[in-house]
This record gives sequence, C-alpha cells and structure tokens, in this order.
Amino acid sequence: MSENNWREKEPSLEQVLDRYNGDINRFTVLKIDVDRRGFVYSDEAAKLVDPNKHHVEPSDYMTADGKKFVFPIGLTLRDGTTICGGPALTTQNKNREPYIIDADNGKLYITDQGEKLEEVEFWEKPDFYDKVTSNGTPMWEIATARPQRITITPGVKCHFWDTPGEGCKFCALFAGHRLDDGEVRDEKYFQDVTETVAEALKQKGRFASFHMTSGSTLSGREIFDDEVELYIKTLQAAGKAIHSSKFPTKLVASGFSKRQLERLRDETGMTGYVTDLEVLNKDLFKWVCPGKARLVGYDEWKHRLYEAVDVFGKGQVHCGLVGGVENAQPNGFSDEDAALKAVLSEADEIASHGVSFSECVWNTLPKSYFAKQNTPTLDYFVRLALGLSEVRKKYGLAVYIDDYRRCGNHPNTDLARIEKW
Amino acid sequence: MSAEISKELKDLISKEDTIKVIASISPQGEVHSAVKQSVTVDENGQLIYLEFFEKSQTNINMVNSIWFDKNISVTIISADNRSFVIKGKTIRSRVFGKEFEKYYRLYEEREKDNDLVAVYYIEPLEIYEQTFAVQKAQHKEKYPLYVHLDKYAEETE
Repeated sequence: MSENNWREKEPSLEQVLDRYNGDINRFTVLKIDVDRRGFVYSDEAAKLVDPNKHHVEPSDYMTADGKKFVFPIGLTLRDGTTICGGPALTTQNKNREPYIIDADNGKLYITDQGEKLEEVEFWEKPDFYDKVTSNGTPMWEIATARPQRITITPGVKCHFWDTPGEGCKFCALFAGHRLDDGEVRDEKYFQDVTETVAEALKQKGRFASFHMTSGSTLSGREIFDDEVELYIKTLQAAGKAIHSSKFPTKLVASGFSKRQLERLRDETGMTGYVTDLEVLNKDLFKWVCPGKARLVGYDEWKHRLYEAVDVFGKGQVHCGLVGGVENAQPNGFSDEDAALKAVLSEADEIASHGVSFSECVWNTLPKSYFAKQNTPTLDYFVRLALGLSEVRKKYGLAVYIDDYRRCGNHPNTDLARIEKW
Repeated sequence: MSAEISKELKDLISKEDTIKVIASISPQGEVHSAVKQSVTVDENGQLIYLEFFEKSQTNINMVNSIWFDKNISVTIISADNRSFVIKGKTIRSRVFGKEFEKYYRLYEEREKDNDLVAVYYIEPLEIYEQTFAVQKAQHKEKYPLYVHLDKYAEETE
C-alpha cells in the first residue's frame, strides 16, 4: 500500500481522460500512467507466463542485481502499442500503488483497485532467442528485442559513472554495471552479431528496425571516439546480414561531434540518431547530468544535435528526454505549470532546428540517485506529451525512427501514429 | 451487440470478384472510403482487414477508430451488383506477433513486395443489404407516403 493518500491529491485516470477528451486517446494515457506508477503481476497472471512462448529475461537486466526470477519484459495493448519494462523495476516506489496485471479466463488485464481497465498480452519471444552462434554464444546474449526491433548493446558500462557522483541521477540502466570492466568486443563478438542479425531476419514480419545503444565511452583522441568506433564495427557487422547500404536504424548514443556523426553516416547503414539532453534546462542539466555537463556541456550537446540534423536530415534526429525529471527536488521546479512552460519553450527552440523529441516517463527506478523522489501527476505527463507533439507538428517534423512501432516508449511519438506527412 | 455474418455473405466476401470498400472517419472528422480487397472473415465471425501502408488514410483512420470509438463500415459489392453494408467496431490492431506473421507470410507469398503493416479485427455491429431492388422494396413498404403524387395519377390514355 502507498504510504500517503496520493489519490486524493491528484487527478485520477478518468478525470484526466475527461479533461483531455478528444485530444488524446485512452490507450496512451493509460500507458503513461502504467509507466508512471509501475505494475506488478497477480499470482493468477504470473501463472500465464510461458517462457517457451513469451519474451522473458532471465534476470533483472537493468539493475543487474542477480535476482533469478523470470518476468515478461513487456505488454501489448489492443491498439498494438506496447508497455516496456519489467515489474521488478517499479515495485519499490512507495509513493503510489502500482497497477496490477491480473488474469481472468486466460486473458490479462490492467487493473486498478479491482477494476479491469484494458486487456493486454505478453510479448512473444523472438525466434532467434533459443539459437546459438557458430562460436557457441547464445544469441540472446548478443541481441535482445522489442516486438518490432532488434536491439544490440555493445558497451555495457557508462563511463560517466567512473567519476563518483557524475552519473545521471535518474538512471538505473547502468547503475548495476558501475564496477564492471565491460565485455570483450573482439572479432568473435562481431561475427556473433552478424550471425544473430541474420538469424533474426529469418523471422518474416517480426522486425522493422535495428536499434543500438550503449553507455557512454569517454576515451579516444576526441571524447567518445572509442564509442563511435565500437558502434561502427557493430553496425558494419550487422550490415553484413543486410543487402542494402542503408536500412532502418536508430542509434541512441552520446552527443557526438559532426566528424564522428559523418563517420557513422559514411561507414555504416545508420539512418537515425538519438542523443539525450535528458532535461531541457541548462541549470538542471548540470545537477541531473553532472558528467555530461562537465565534459560536454548543455550548449555544446544542443549544438551537436543541430549538427546531427545536417548529417542525417530533418526528422532523423531525436533528443531523448526523461520527461518529468525537471520536477525533481530540491533543485527542480516545484510548480508543474512553470515546469511545463519552461520545458516546452526550450523544446520549441530545439525543434526549430529540425530535432524531434523522444520523451520517456520518469519513473523513480531503484538504485538510481532519484529512487526516493516523487514524480509528477498524470495530468503533467499528458500535457507534456501533447505539448511536445504540438511543437513537433509546428516545425513539420515527421517521426521515422522512434515511433510506436520502432520503440514504443515515448508518448508523444505514439501520438504521431495518426498524423500524416 | 455483435451481428452475425451469414454464410451467404461470408462466401460473397471470399470471392475474388467481390469489391470491398471501407469507409472510415479521419481524426479531423472527414469521411474517407477506399477499395480494400484484403477484407476477410475469420473463424470467429470477425472481419479482418489487412493494411499494407503505414501512412495510408485508412490506416490512420482505423487507429482513430480504436482510439476514439469511431465505427467504420465495409460495403460488399458482388459481381452481379448485389451490395451489403457491415457496420463495425475496430477492436484490435496487431502490428506484430505470430498471428500477424501468419498473414505477413501469406501475402508475401502472393507478391514478394507486399509488406503488411497491420491486421485489424472488426466486430460487426449491424448488417443490411443495400442492393437497389431490395432497398426499393423495403423503403416502399416502410415509407409508403414518401412518393411523388404522379406515381398515383390515374392513367389517362
């Protein structure tokens, strides 16, 4: 149970739906709230998990805490959109009760206080998951997947964490890997990548995009040079399984210089780039992302986003955000209206340079510095999604690389599904 | 409340020379209709519509139908000019998964370039025949006074 009476303090799901009736659909609003509050499975729902059929992860891969329970990594809604993330990541948040995924007659439902809100299904396991490369490596160790994308993470450590206190404060993604030395990425690894991608593509109709991301690697002649080199080798390895010089690709990575971006464009099949300012406020950036602020800086990171548009084109570059983190205390906004006004004003400036936005819903993940923070209201997140969507439309920015199909974790790009360009 | 598609209509929908037209509502409230030969009926009596274009107006409108509870209609026109209308509610969109992949492979076998983007499941709500002769008879019986007076004029010659 929640330790406070939060339901009395903020508008409910139904109240928010009534308030924005016609402006935003109930699937996206529910998905935002499930992301915000988290979810757990009832015992009956957990009985429906079939590791031979459903996409499960063998451990809590994000926080790498060694727990051995197995849970599905995502859910699908009736409209075909997805909810990402295992319940282990969210259940420690005591500020609000999580939604409960319950079962009835063999079907799964998102429920709250006993009320069925929407039917959901588990993601299906990709066919390549049980295969092994010629080197004997299980392919699930080389790539993971969302329903329509292959994901490869060649670098498992984020080196902003190397200096104590310089990791991003909301992040748990690499928190568990702070002390790892990283994986060996030799020729055997790149051969495994080629074979895994080739095997994945045998599943016709499954994948619509190749996705790659890692923690930041700061080393090299210029900062991030070694990270760029690793991506180039990995993308080239993946490209050996594809007969086109360019293919639907999204790289979520550090803020690269124009020279580094041109290398990625010229030497690989890469078509889309996302780099994360995380919070659209220069002062808060210094507090929330101290490593990024010290080594690159807010203004330079923005400048690099703009240069990326020159390299990859309008609509092919997104700025990643942790939506809502601008309200973190004690340095963030204490008034949601003021926060939204500031964020959307800065978003307007950035979008005017051809950059779109991929906002996640800030969830206070265990092991993150912000684990005990309280996140904004559902009303705030809905206004943020609608506001970013309006900014994007104002500047004629299409969503090609980070939409409901190729990612599924960004409310404003989900809304682009019914936009025409 | 679901309506049941008769065997006769199912057979008609499955014929290659039958024309199928989906009418749907855009997010801006505009009506759009398009010939969509990939409409079929599944074993549960639901209409299935296979969409091949991410940014077609029909695809956008089908999502709009699920998101905002806007019904759609499918008009079925036989080779001998009989026509039927099925009003329906779009209840699910599959854009991945084994069931999606089954249709993906089926249509890729028919034409290699086919690139399925979504499978829509439509619950029939109301079904009626709109063949001209049938509609004329039904209308005359139900609204006998909606008629020009000259139809009642005495024959003078």
